[in-house]
Formats: sequence, C-alpha cells, structure tokens
Amino acid sequence: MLTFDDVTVVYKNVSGQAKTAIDGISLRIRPGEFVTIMGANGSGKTTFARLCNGLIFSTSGSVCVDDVAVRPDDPKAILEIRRRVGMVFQNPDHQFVSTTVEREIAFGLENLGMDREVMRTRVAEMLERFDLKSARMKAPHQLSGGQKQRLAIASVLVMRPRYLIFDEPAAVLDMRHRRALMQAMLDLFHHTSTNTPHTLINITQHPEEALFSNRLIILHQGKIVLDGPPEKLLLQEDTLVRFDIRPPVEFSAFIRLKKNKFPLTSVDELFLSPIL
Amino acid sequence: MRITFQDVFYTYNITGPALPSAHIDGVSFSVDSRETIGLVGANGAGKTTLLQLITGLEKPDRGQITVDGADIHGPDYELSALRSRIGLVFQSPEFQLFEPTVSEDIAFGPRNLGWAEERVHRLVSSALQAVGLDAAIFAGKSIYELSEGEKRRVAIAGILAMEPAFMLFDEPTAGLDDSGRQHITAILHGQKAAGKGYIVASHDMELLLETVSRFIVLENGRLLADFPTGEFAQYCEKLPHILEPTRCMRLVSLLRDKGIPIPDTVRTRDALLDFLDDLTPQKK
Ligand SMILES: Nc1ncnc2c1ncn2[C@@H]1O[C@H](COP(=O)(O)OP(=O)(O)OP(=O)(O)O)[C@@H](O)[C@H]1O
Ligand SMILES: [Mg+2]
Repeated sequence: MLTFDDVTVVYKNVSGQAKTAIDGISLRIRPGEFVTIMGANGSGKTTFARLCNGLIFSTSGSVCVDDVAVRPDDPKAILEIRRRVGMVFQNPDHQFVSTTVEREIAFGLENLGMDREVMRTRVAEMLERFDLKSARMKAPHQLSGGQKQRLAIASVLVMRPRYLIFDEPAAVLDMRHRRALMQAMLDLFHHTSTNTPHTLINITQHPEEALFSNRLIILHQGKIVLDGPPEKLLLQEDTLVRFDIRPPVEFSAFIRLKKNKFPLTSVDELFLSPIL
Repeated sequence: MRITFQDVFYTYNITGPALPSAHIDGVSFSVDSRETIGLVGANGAGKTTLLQLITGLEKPDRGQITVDGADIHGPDYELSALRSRIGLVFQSPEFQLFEPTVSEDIAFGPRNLGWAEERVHRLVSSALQAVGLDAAIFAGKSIYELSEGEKRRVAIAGILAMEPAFMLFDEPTAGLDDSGRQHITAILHGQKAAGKGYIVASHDMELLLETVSRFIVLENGRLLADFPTGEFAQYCEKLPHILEPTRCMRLVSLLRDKGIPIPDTVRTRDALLDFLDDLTPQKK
C-alpha cells in the first residue's frame, strides 16, 4: 500500500521564493490498483511521482511505501523503496548510464547480482517487447526520441518492481508503440502468478489511457480534486475542462447524444475495439 | 523562401554530436515557406533529423539542400542568417533552454538579432502570452523551476520571439495539457494568417488535420508519400502501417452506421461536437 498523509511539498528557490507544488494530499493506493493521474501542466503530477520513490521528500506530512516511511534521514529505507518503486521518467535522457542499449537494460539486474541465464532471458524479452532488437548494440544517446523512451521503460520493467510509476512516457511515442506500452501495463496488471500484485500509476495527458485503469485521480494546483472510476469521471465534461482536461471524443459525443435523446445506454456503444 | 532537398543522404556519425538522429536515405522534396506541412512517420523514421538538416544543424553526406537556389553548405552561405529566418523548436526543450530565467531565455534570440531592447521586451511578453504562461508568475522564474510542460512552452516562446519567417516544430504538443494544446493550435493558425508557414513533426494527427494543408510521410529515412490534407483518409487506407484514422474519424463513421447523417464537412473534434450539439432531439 502507498499511503499519503496530509502531504505538502514546498519548493524554495535561491531567492527564497516558495512554491507549493503539493498541497495537503491524503490518499491510499492499494496493492493491485491501476491508477491514472491527470492534471494541467504544473499541477503537481511529477512532484507526486517523485515523492513515491524518495527522489524528493515531503515538506510536511508522511509518505509510506508498505511499512516503510519515505524519509531523508534513513538511507537504507530509501534504497529499499527504490527497489520496490520503479519509475519511468517524462524525459528519458536523465536516466541512462550504460554504453549500449543491451547493457542499459541489464544494468539493474547486474547490480542485483542476478543469475546470467535468467538475466539473458529477461533482457531478450524486453528487447523483443519494446522493439529494440536491431538497436541493441547502439549507444542510448544515438536512439530516436521514441526509442529512448522505450529503452527507459524496458530498463525499469526488467527489474519487475512491485510499484511502477509512469510519468508520461507515451508523450512522444507513435500509436504502435503507445499501444505496446499500454499492453505492457495491462500485462503487468493482470500478472497474477506472483503473490504480490503489481501496483501501477500512469501519469498522462491522454484521457483515453485512463480507460485501461480502474481509478482516475485528478490534480489541480497541488490538490486532489477528483478521484473515482475513470468511466464515471470522464462523463463530467464541464468539471474536467476547468482542470484543463478534455474527455475522449466518444465521451463528449455520448453526453451530447444523450442530451438530444438518442437511444444509447452506455458510452461503450461508441467505442470500437481496441480502446486506443 | 523555397527550401529544396535534392537526393539528400545522411548517416549518423557515431563519434558525432549527441543529438538524437536517424538516417536519411535519399530524400528529395521542395517546400515554400508559406506552406503548412505535417511531417509524419513512426518513431525513428527520421523526422527529427530531417528538421535538423533543414536548419543546417546537420550536414548531408551526399546531395544538396538549397534555400532559394543557394546551397546552404556552400562556401559563402551564411548559415546564421538562415537560422534567424527558420526557427526550430526541439523535441526536448532541454536542448534549447540555457539562460538563468524564463524571460532572459526568451529574450536571448531577439537580442542576438540586435533588436532594440524595447522591442525585445514586447516580443517576450507577447510570446509568453501566446504559449499561455502568465508573465507575472513565470518571467522571473529559473528554468530549473519549471515542470516539463512549462519548459516546452518556454522553448516554443523563445523561437516565436524571433519572429522567424518559417517554423519547424518537433512534437510541439507532447506533454501539453488541453489548454496548452489549444495555444499551440492558435499559434499555428496565427502564423498561417500572417503568411508564414511551418513544418510540424508530430504523432498528433488531430492537431495536424486542423493546422496543415500538406502531409509528408517518412519511413526508414525515405520519403514515402507527399499529399494534400484532403487525401488523408485515402492514405490511411493505402499506408495502414503508418497512417490511421483519428479517434474522431472512427467515431464519425460509427455514428453514420448508426444512422446519424454527419456531413462530409465535419472532420475535426470541435466540428463533430458542434454538430451533435445542434442535432434535433429524437422524438419518442
Ligand atoms: N525544482 C523546482 N523548484 C521550484 N518550483 C518547481 C520545481 N519543480 C517544479 N516546480 C513547480 O511546481 C509545480 C508542479 O510541478 P510538477 O513538475 O510537479 O508539475 P506537473 O503536473 O508534472 O506538470 P507537467 O504536466 O508540465 O509535467 C509547477 O508549478 C512547477 O513550476
Ligand atoms: Mg510532469
């Protein structure tokens, strides 16, 4: 369980100005949940994500991953939290440490001293799934923007962390790779063979991605303003636009068709599969 | 201004600069700087490289790039003058932001062009407004204090402030919220109304369908197709592995199948929703 208890984050700059990026958030995310987080630019999404794996710390209030508190004065706890919480960043350039794509994916596993054979299988699986086979001997900085993003995702997924936070990794992906990414999230979500279920948090500006998850949280100026099932929240168009979110076109169309008394019972009737 | 590629080849040099690049494999085309163009293709198809070649940031191995007939890598050509006329907004705003504060960063380009301080001032505030950033909050902020979407907006503002005759955008809406997206659409419409063209490399087909009149499709560094926007639907059928109908287009055909008579003029989301708003209520 991920627990936020009245958490506030205030950024202070060199000239002493303060900016409250997270403003008194309390929340529980249970194991096995798949949560989507949306909100305007600057609403606090990335700050929220960074709190979850100890990249930054709350100014007040507490953040816990299972039974471990995320606190700056406990380096051992932070290491443990980074093992449990994997994070794929908005900007992949900051993430790479190795000389080739293949070594980048293996990097985390090598650090854990994993068995060579298992490691090779897992790395091969990631190269295959994220379409990086032909680029495996390239240097990460030589990749195109979309390939870099896929590499960043593969290097985190290969570690199989219990909690996974995606900070808008799909922003520069083409449709095919966006679908592959959503499929990868769904696979993790439905992965029930392990006894500790994965918990997924996907931060996005694409409202239709919320339909893959079972909970949608909307941030506005550092506060949670909506929290509920995506298919319900996405029907609240007038509320959403106030938070700079536009529902998927099918939802906006459904609202208008209902208003004009068209015989529709559910928005599902306006969706062709697949969702994306 | 006319930009022409003649059989351009470019191979990424492993020891070269650490810019994201792919291969360009014999590309020829010609564009007028008043045209509005969408550059599309899968990740790694060469869109970013092509934009960098246009501004002379990368040099072709073979072939020629000319602007109004002059080879941009010719001995007497002034590349810096070209770069003040063609503005490139990078895919990663980090490659572009380097001044300590937001307003200084945006002012950097126009100042470099030697423009009067008063004019620079005016350009900075109108550029901030165009990208939807409140000057009172953002002008004095350090670029290290920005969220990703805020950074992208500042990067776009910095190029806008130089008032280039032609603009190149690499994924301008990636990571932007809905209002940011609307600001980008308005910026593109404004450029077009001022007789200034642009090339937008993007996967955001809705944005392109609203803002460009011509599509150029790349695949593995080759030019695969070049067609007017009116033929987008046809090309989705011809090149299904690269182009596909938008969610809005799919919904329109589904609604037509349900017997709702949506006219052919309805192509964008806004147009569709306006049409549905005014649809006569069905009688019981
Ligand atoms: N290091 C920092 N110092 C000061 N202010 C910051 C810092 N990082 C972020 N901020 C500010 O805090 C607020 C929240 O930023 P955050 O990055 O969490 O937003 P976000 O929701 O992820 O936005 P985006 O959609 O643009 O990625 C923004 O107003 C931003 O300007
Ligand atoms: Mg962010």
